[in-house]
Amino acid sequence: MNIKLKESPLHLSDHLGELTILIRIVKMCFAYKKLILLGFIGVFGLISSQLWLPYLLGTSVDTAYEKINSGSKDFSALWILAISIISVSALRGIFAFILQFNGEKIANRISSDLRSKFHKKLQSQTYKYHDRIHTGNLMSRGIMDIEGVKMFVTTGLFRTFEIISLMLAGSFLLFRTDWQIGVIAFGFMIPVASIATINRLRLRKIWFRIQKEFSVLNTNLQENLIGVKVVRAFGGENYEIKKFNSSHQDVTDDTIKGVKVDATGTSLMGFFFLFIWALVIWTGGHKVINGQMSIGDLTQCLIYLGMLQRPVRIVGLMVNSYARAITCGLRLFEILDSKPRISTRSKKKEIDRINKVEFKNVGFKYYRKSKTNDIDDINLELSPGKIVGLIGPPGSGKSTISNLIPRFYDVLEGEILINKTPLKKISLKPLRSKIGLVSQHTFLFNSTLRENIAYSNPKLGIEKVIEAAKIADIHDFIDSLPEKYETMVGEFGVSLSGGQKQRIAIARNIIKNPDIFIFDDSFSALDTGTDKSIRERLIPLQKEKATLIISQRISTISHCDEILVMDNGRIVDRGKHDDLIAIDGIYKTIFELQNPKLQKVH
Amino acid sequence: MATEIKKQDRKVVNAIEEDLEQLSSYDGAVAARFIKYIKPYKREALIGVISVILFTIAVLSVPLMVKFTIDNAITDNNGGLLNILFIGLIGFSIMHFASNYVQQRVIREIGEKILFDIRSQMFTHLQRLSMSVADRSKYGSIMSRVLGDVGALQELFRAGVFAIGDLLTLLIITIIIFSLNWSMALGILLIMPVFLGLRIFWLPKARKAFLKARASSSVVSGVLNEHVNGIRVTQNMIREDVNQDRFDERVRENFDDMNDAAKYGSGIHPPVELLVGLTMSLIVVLGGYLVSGGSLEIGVMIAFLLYVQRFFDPIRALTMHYSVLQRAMASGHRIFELLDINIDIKDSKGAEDIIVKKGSIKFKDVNFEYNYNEPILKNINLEINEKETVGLVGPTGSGKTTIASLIHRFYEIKNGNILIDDQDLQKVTQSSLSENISMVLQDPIIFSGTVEDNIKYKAQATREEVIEASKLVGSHDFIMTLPKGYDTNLEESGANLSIGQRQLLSFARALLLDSKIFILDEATSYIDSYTERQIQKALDEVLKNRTGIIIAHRLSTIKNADKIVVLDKGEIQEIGSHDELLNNKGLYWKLWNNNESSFDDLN
Repeated sequence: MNIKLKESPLHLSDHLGELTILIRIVKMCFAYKKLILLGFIGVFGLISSQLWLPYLLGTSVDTAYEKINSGSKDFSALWILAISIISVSALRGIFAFILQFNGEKIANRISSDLRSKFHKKLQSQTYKYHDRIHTGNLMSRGIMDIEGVKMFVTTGLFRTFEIISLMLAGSFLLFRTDWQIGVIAFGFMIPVASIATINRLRLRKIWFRIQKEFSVLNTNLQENLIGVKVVRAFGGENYEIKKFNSSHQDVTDDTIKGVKVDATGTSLMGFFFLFIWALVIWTGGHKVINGQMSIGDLTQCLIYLGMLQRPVRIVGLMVNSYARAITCGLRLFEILDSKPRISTRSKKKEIDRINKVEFKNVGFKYYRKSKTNDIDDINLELSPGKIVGLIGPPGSGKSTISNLIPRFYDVLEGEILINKTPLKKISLKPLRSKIGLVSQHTFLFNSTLRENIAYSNPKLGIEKVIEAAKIADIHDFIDSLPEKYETMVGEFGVSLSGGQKQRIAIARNIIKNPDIFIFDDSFSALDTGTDKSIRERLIPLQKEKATLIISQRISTISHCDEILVMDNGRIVDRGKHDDLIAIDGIYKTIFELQNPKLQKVH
Repeated sequence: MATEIKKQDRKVVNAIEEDLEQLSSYDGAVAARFIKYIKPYKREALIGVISVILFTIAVLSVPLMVKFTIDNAITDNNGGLLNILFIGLIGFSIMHFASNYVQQRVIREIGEKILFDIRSQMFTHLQRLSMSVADRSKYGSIMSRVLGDVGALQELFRAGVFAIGDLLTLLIITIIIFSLNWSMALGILLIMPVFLGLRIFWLPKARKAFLKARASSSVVSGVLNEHVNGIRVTQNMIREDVNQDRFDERVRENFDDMNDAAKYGSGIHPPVELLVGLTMSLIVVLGGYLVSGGSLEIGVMIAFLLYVQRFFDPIRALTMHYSVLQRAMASGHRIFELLDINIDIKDSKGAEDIIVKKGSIKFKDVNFEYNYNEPILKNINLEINEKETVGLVGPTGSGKTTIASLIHRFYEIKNGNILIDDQDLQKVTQSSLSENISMVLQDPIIFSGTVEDNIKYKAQATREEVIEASKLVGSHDFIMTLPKGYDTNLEESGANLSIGQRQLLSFARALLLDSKIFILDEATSYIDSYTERQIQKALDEVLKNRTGIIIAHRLSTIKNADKIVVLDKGEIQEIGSHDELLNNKGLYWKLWNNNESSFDDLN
């Protein structure tokens, strides 16, 4: 039963063309029809009012100029123009508002959708998936890449239409007013747009490099602070300063490189703009002198030209946001399109209660490419009222066994039977709800102690929570805190010792009231006394339940009904404590190691 | 319950908001100290300021030139003058180009260099501070000071220089438009306060909305991070659906906040555009009357229309600079706070390098406290002879780790003397001390880099020496199984190694230092019995020719030591060999007899 795995889930797949990524994002936007419609109303309203303004201003200049020549005292035309200018400006403001607000709203909608889907996908992914992909990697996709897609929607989507229409209309009007000036203006757009684009793409590359170098700097600083004792103990202060400065120098050098590129680009763009401006005035001026053009027309041309400046300049920004959206989208959709490899959907058998768990010749390995199995030929049986202990050197495969029972991983060889039914045919969620696996590493959520203990059932009454906490020997501690069960733990709350965390994990699983308990090295951070007293309090609970205790400590498992000794992925010995002590095996070695009194004093 | 969680979230949001806000006002002291960092770049800064001024002049001259061209060349039908003015305009474009390039490049380059200087100074300062500072501070807060706040302070420099340009622009435009036509200029100037008022009214509100959106967005990221990290628990407890609902709720909240911010971001457009329109129509009407009356040239009217936009921009920029200034002040405070922490352990005057030939250690009436009047060690008298192996045991908080730290002078003792080979630690240089003491700490620290880099750390050792040390502590075998052996890159904090393997590496690292004194500070407490046995073997070898101090809470670790020191509540209770202590029938004997494996089981 091999698990089908793609070579690497994180490989940027080549089948997806870059364009399909953009199309997919645009499609997502078009799902919000009303917002899209409003956005387009905004774009076209903005463009039309933008284009009207130079016409009005030019006409005003001409009207004023005519007045000098005609000597007329009728100013109503000027007043009408003034009112039109005000109304067109106000309209421009309103359309700009409609465009920006709706554009951002779509972007916010999309980023919210993506976040929710992303979260959902990760929640449903298997252990194997999470083993392989680093949290940092997932987080950067969930935060930075969604942000990249969002930026594209705010800046790329409507802007593209706005800019293209503005440039087209602006050039058309320029050509219509005077085709020669139109040609000159066109001569300006081409170099500026290409400088802007090339520059942006170059800056993007530099920016990526800076980001990488900055994360090195970040790591340097962090390691220096965390490892302060090592630094001091080894007198490594100067070495650290050298290391920090050299990685900082990399950041500075590249930033300055970026500054150079950016400064060259923007100042060149400014230059071209002024240069063309001068050309337009020069040619236009001669035309006015020769009577081929009115001053108002020239003013209009100058203002149209001014209006073209902005869109041409931001072409580069847009190209950048397209490029970013493609990389971000690619990384993001890869996660969103991944399929959970342990299916929970298809029709499965529901079980009411776990009566018996059997391992039949089970073999498993975490990495398909490993040459040997991580566990091999495992046979064991868990049944109600029976306590099984599992001991062995680190890496011998103990935890692997515990992870296979709730089917966090699928077995490779042999099979696991629950109540005689193969595990793979059993509906997953109800099964897991009946297994209380206290794992080696306790994860606490940024929440209250009560939430953390009642994690499987947030609506549970406080009495039940206290009851579980008492059994896990953590109630007295919690009760001594000022806010008791409402005390925050995790990143923003009180920090707990390893032993306290383990006890919370135990309480968490007691709350679950499972049919089977699995303690995966979950007493290791407790002193022997606490370990013992918790186990004693658990006994009444265990009567009707199957129990598997994994430990490195002999005293934790010595009382078990059956003890399995593991080495190199195999069960090498089994029996009761007294049987195992009698034979010269690993068990005996461990026992002697942990009881110094039994050792000879040199 | 749900509302409870929300309240907690709000707490986080508020904390973040406060942190971002920290509206500290202009502070002369911070500014004065900041100016010191500009000093090394005086000349460049001067060039920057000059180019800003030149740039401003170039930008503002263009409309003037246009006005002049229209009024004197075009309306007067003077083609020759037009040609000359055309060349003049080209000249201005070149000046515009050059000054623009220089101002951007020089100013931002200085900014980067200042940033480098401040960061480097902070980092160096951090290396000089004693361990007691490191114990007290949270590294997250130091990180944000060194990385984030320095960036904000650098912004101050850029904003400051560019503000000069903006102020100058405003001033020159005002002068120009007044000299062109005072009545029209007055009209425009009357509209300005309305615009300024609008900005001042709007900016803080918009900022608040943006900060709120940013804060609730970081809550979303935080929850996502938490749920990804806790995925195993979640699947184990079948809480996927509850988590999804909770996450979605945060996302919705953030969505609302972001839309609020969008409202502010885009809501400013209608009033601003209206004001621009008002100004322009004012020019049109007033200009029209004046032009037809003959008291105004048509070129002036065009120049006015061209200046209007330019007048709004510097005001917009200046209000932005103001918020940069506010942020920078808060950052400046935090930066200087860090730089002002006193270096409490310094080499005394005339301190010489310590020479350790034998490795004997002596504590004479040593008293120590971290906090005033909370003694940690009381009257410690202890003599450790060369090549002796001494075990320090005692319950948590008994002061055993403190003793080890004091041998390295991580902290300053209150009174008494600590001597190594009869040299007082307070009279020798700290750097020479580190050269002569090897330490293996409880938490094995792995730096990013290869296996070899980690073993070497700062030592100048050959590959052969690294392998030799590695073989001695028993780490060679597992290193060879790594994909690239000694050249394998270790992931973040050595995540691809087990804790036992990491500890073996830090063992090898200490060994490579090859000093007479070897301290193990609870180095085996996270390690299972098997690995410990392996280390124990290596240790016997290593300590043959060295003075060894082993701090442990497992009795089996120190049982074979030449001398065992039992500590409790900062005092030495018993000293002797394993057998002697058993005969003493004291604390040690009690533990041993109860068959307890560690001191922590006491109580």
